Amino acid sequence: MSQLKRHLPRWGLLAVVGIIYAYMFLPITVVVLTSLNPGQYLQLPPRGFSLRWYAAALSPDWLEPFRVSLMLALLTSAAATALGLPAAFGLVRHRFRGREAINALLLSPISLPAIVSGVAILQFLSLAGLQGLIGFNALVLAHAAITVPYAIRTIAISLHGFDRSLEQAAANLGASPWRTLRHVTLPLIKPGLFAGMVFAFIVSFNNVPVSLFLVRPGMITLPIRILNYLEYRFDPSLAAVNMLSLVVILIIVAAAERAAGFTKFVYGR
Amino acid sequence: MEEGDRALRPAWRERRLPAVLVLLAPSLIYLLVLFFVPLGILAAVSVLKFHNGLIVRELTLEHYVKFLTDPFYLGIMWNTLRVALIVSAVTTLLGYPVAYVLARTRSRWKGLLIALVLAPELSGVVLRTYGWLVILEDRGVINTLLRSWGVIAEPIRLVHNYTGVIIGLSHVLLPFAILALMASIQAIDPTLEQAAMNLGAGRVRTFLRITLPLSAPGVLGAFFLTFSLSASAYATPAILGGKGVEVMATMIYTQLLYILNWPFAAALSVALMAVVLVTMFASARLVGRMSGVFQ
Repeated sequence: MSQLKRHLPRWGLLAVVGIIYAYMFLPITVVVLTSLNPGQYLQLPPRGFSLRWYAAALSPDWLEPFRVSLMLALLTSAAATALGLPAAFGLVRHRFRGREAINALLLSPISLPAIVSGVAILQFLSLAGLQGLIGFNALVLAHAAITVPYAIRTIAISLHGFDRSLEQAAANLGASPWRTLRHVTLPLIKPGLFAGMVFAFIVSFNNVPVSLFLVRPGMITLPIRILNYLEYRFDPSLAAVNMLSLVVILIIVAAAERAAGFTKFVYGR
Repeated sequence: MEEGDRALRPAWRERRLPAVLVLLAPSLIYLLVLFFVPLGILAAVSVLKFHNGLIVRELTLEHYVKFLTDPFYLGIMWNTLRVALIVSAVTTLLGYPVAYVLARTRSRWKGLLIALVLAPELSGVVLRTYGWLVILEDRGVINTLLRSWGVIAEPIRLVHNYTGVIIGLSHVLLPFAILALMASIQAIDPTLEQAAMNLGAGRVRTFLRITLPLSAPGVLGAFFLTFSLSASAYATPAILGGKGVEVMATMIYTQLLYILNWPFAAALSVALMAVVLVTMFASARLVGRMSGVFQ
C-alpha cells in the first residue's frame, strides 16, 4: 500500500505525459489514415485501403504549386545561408560597439508577427512601383528576409563551440586563409550550416502568413493553394497532398542528417 | 604602373573597411531594404487618408480612431486576446508535465523523446490544422464516434467557431511551450529537490514547494511566447474558424485583399505588432525580475 502511494505520483505523471504525446500526434495520424481511406469520410476502425486520393493529389492542379513551393524553399534556404554565414562570423568572431543591438536587429524578423511582415512587404513593393516582382521573385525575396535569422542563429551556435586552435594549426602549416576556411572551418561548422538550411527550407516550404500576400494567379505556393481550396471544398485528396508535402520535408531532413548529422546539433546538448 | 600599385597598397590597406563591416553589411542591407523599410512604409501608410478607394497624401489618425472607438473592431481585438489567453494557458498547462519529465529523465530515450516533441513542427501548420478539421467537423471522427456510441443524437459544433480555433492553436503551439519550460526546469539544480526529499518531503510536496516556484520564469516565458504567437496566428483561425470567426490576422487579410483599404489594414497591423511587442517586453521584464529574485 505504501509502495503504491509512493509510486502513484510518478506513474500518474508518466500516464499524463503519454496522453499528451498521443494528442500531439493525433492530427498527423488522422491525416495518414484519411489519405489511405477509400471513402469521403474517415471510418474508424479503417475499412479498406485505397491510393485513389494520392492519384488525385498527383494532378497538375496540385503538382504545379508543389513545384513552386519546392523551388522557392530551395532558393530561400540557399539565400538565407549565403546572407547568414558572413553575418554569423561577424557577430561571433568580432568584438565591436553595438554588437548586441546589431544581433537583435538581425534576429528581429523572427520575433515580429510574420503576417505584419507580409503586409509590409506587399505595400512596400506596390508603392515602390515594383508590383512586377509580385509572384515568385517577391516570394523568394521575402522568404529570405524572414529566414536569415534562422541561418545566423544556427551557424553562430556552431561557431561558439569552435576550437580556433585548429585554424591556427592550418595557418601555421602554410594554408592560405581561403584554404583554411574551406578545409577546416566550413567542415567543422557543417552541422550548424545544414541546420540553418533545413530550418529555412521548412519555414519557407510551410509558410502561410507571408506567402499569403505575395502569390498571384498562376504562381501560388502549396500551403496557400490548400488554404484557398479549403475555403469552399473539403475532401480527402487534401490529406494525400499534405502527406506528399510531409514526405518532401522528411527527405530534406534525412538528406541533411546524412550529410552533416545535424539532428545531433538540434537535439543533442 | 607596377611600382605605383605596390606603393599604393599600404595606404589602401589602411583605408580598407573593417572586416566586421564587410561580414555584416550584406545581411544588414538586405534586411534594411526588405524588412525595416517595408515596416516604416507600413507605419507611414497607416497615417494616410483613404478616400474613394484611393490612398491620399494627407496625414490622419482616423484609422486608429476608427479601430479604437468602433465596438466591432474592438470586439475582434478582444476575441483575439481572449483566444490567445486561453490558448497560452492550455499550452503552458499541458506543456509543463511533458517539459518536467523531459528535463528530469535519465532515460537513454531522452533525445528521441525531445525529437518527438519537435517532429510535428516539420509538418506545416496547414497539415495539422487540416487534421483537426477531419477530427472536429460535423461528420468528423469525434462526432461519428460519439454518435455510434449513442452518446449524442446531433453533432456537437466543434469547428467553425472559437472552440475549434482554440483546440487547433493549442496543438500547434504546444511544442513552443514545452521547449521554453524544459529549458527553465533543466536549469534548476536537482540537488535542491533531493535535499527536500532527504528532509522528508514527498514527491508532490517537493514539486509544489521547490520545483514549481523555481520554474516560474519558464512558466511566464512559455505563457507570453504562446500568447504572442497565438495573437498573430492566421492559418488556424482561417481554417478552423471559418466565416463565423474573425481575429486580428484574418481581419487584416480581409481589409487588405477584399476591402482594399490599405491604410486601415496597415493601422491594424501596427496595432497587432504593438500587442506582440508589449507582450514580449512585459515578458522580458517579468522573467528578468523573477530570475533575479531566485538567484
